[in-house]
Amino acid sequence: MQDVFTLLTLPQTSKAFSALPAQPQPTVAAVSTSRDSSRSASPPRKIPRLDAASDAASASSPRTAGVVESTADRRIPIVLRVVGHPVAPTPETAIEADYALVRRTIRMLLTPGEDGTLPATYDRISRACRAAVAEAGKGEGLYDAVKMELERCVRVIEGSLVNDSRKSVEWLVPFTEACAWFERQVGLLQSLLAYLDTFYIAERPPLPSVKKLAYNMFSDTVIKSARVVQAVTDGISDWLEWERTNRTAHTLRSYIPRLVHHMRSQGLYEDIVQSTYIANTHAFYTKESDKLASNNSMSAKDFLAHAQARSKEELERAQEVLLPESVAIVHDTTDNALLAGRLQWLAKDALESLMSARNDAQLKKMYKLFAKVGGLKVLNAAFKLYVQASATFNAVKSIVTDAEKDEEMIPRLLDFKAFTDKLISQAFVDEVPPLAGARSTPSQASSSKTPIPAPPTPITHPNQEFRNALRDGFSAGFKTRRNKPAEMIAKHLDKAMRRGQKGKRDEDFEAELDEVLALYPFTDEKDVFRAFYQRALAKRLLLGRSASDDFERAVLKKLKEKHDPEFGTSDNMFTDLALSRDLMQDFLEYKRKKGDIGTVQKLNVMVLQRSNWPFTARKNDVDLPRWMQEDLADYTQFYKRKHQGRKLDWDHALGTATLRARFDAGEKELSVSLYQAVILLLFNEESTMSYADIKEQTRLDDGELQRTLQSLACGKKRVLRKQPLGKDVNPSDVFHYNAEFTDPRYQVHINSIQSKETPEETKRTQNSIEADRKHALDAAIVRVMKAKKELNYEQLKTATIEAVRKHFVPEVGMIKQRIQGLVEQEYLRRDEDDMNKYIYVA
Amino acid sequence: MGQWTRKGWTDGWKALGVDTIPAMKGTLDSLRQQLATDTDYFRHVYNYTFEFSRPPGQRSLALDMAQGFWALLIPHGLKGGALAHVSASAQQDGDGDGDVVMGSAGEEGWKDEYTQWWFEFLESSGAKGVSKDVWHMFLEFVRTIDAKFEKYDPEAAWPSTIDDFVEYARNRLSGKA
Repeated sequence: MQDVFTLLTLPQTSKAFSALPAQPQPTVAAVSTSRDSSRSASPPRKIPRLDAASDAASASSPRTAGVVESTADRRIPIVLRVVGHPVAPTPETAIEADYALVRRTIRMLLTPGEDGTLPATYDRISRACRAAVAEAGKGEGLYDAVKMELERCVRVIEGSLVNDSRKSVEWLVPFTEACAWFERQVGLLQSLLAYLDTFYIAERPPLPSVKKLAYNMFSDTVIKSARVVQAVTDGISDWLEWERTNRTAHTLRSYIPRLVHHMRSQGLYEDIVQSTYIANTHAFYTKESDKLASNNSMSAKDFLAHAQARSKEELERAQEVLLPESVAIVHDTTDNALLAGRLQWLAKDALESLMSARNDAQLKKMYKLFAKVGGLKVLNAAFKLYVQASATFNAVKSIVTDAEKDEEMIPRLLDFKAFTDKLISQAFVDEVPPLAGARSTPSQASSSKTPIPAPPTPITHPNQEFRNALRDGFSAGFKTRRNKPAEMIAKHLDKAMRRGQKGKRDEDFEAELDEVLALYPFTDEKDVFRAFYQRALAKRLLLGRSASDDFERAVLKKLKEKHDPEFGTSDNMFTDLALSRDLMQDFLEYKRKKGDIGTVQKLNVMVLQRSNWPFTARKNDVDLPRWMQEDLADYTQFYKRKHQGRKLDWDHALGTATLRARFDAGEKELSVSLYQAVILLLFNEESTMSYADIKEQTRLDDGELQRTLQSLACGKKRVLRKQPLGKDVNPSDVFHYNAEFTDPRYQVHINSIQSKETPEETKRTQNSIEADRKHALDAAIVRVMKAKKELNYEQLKTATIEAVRKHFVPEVGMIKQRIQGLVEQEYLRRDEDDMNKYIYVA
Repeated sequence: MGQWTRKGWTDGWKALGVDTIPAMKGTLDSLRQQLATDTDYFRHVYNYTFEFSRPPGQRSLALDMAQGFWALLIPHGLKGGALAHVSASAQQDGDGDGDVVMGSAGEEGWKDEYTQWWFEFLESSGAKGVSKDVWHMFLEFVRTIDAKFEKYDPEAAWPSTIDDFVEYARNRLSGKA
């Protein structure tokens, strides 16, 4: 784009006017502010003066050369005087003709319906105007003419619009067309009457220019006409109503943007178009929302989908039809109108059905929508409630309290948690606009084939409120059933440790364990978990069933450090076993030296320090075969010599044995529990024994005996046959050695129910936990009272709960009982006057 | 039970200013009267009864003994007004001076038949004896509970036996009604 000066600068190569001698020139008064006072330091150039209205190359008019003289710069301007035919003053007739021409033009232009051909060329008319204004001084007349014609014109337009037979949306057509026509005509008028504007109007400041005048009149008469306004608003409203009801684009939709454009030019866009649009949107959707939500005509989930669809619809419509600044407002109005008052209902019902369907994509959309209408708090509350207590859709409470599916409790919880975690990290997230720096990927403008880099993905932050809600929901859900969840977590871990890695990578196995451990903080009953876990761990270690020592220790460490310092005692189990191994070596060495190693070399003893292991002493135990008993006595003696003052008690329930058995099909090596071994060895003497016989010889009690026999005769691997057949063992049964026993492998492991927790053992553990709790409560109560001397019942209760919180949450009834017991035993007494107060008895 | 020290005997009668048998008879009558009407005196005697009747060395009182004494004392106090109903809120004012707020808007208190209910409840609960706490608290209970067992606060420090009795009584009331 070249500037004017360059164009009008005379070429440097020619001498041009420099041939003329420079003439001294008297200072001429500075004329109007010139727009092109150039002060180049180069040799004086002849820059022809440019006038303001420079569209016509009117070389015919004389120009005075006005110069701005500056003191710094004493160029001597060169005056151009065009010498030619003197300009004769225009004859009167010509002036009249010009005047009439212009007036006629104005009239023609401003008459709607006129075909538009003008009486003369643009140039002629323009010049006529100039002549009339500049020379003949008819500016005022012309101006009045314009005014008059405009008045007439707009009235006509208004009249025709109001009386137009078309109504509602169709009416917008003639309206838009009228606006468009008017704009066109005024534009043309404006250029033709340019001289009027510059010469006449510009010198009279309060007078509006032609365009302004025209538009003002149009606005006053047409647009602000009450009937027109009404018709416009009606038209818009009807159009919106139609489109929304029929959910498709109206045939006349294209007229709306045009309407918008015209209204904007008139400066009435916001007042008339935008406000109508928004008001209408709000009313429509509020109504629709009410209708759909009432009388259960639509499910929450469907309503939500509908709302989202409508939202998208409106966005599209607004983008196509309205000005950009209105789009966001319309979008928000739609969302708010639809969702106002529905938030609770949607949050509850829609959330439920979406959660149960595990539809995380939809949930993400729901979150976004709620965020827009400020409904996140409601959504959060509903989410928390769902997680905790939704009965219908397998949330925490229902999983936890489903007593029939106890075995599956943990896998189901893990599954649910994985889903909700995913929601937290992906669906319930807020977008943070990426930092400016992140956009720094330069676009490769050169010819390379690299694709344009995708816009940077927005950084998302999980919503902390929702994370908290998830956590709280889980905790509350766990509380709905005391004790059991903690127990199941411990058992689940036991299963996992026994199964072992089985070829998984270290990290994967660890991740699995971590997942389960993540559930641990939700339960209050830490002591239950601890009790069951330690028992299971002890069994695993003793029976050699654990995945790996390393993993066991790692898990213990995690438990100890992150959750519960009491797990530290479990480490001692490992030490005991290591010591036992050493001892065993010593014992065998000793026997070898003595020379009577005999059967002892088949023995392996594990010495456990009672305080480290969660086993209770047995009252009576199985009767072992004589030779075993002798070996054990041997060992006991040896041990006594090593450690005087210690007493050994044998616990055969935990023992194991390996037997070599000869069946018809071949020899097998059976690894069994000690009890099983003892029973099987009986069949060396007899191939058939009755229940009573076995009982007599082994001295096992009924429960154990039945269980053991069951594992030998009723399970998958039946080395004994039972008569009569059946799953349960009765005192009247008879057992036979099963010579036909086969198994694909040489080494057969008979599933002893011993390694898993039997229901009796579980019950025993639970009872001991109960007992421990009672003691813990007693101790806590006494401690508290000793410190405070006197407290009322409420305070004592609270203080006690607080004191044992780390281990378990006591029931109120239990606390009361313990207090009463302590009063009985005179550790505390009641106050004589206030029956609610207790006093410590020193 | 049934044994007094000589000193205690003589000192006690001396304190009452009585030293002849007819005077003793008369005094006993007035004492019996006082027992029926004077709440403080009643409480005094009632609480003493527990110690008195409990075999030495035992912590609690045998159920049949307790029932016997209750059957003696409670009706007596009810009839005379010593065990008149006090509304629970008035009872809990701190100074515990035993102000009897007569008739908290006509609320009814312990009915005679309730004593029988109490016995039946204790028998069915399988309790062998009555602890000191229950014995003492029972008095307050009789005084403050309303006839419908509605205004009872299980969160307060009542012995759990009484908690259970309230539930028993409520069930019985609703079963009857």
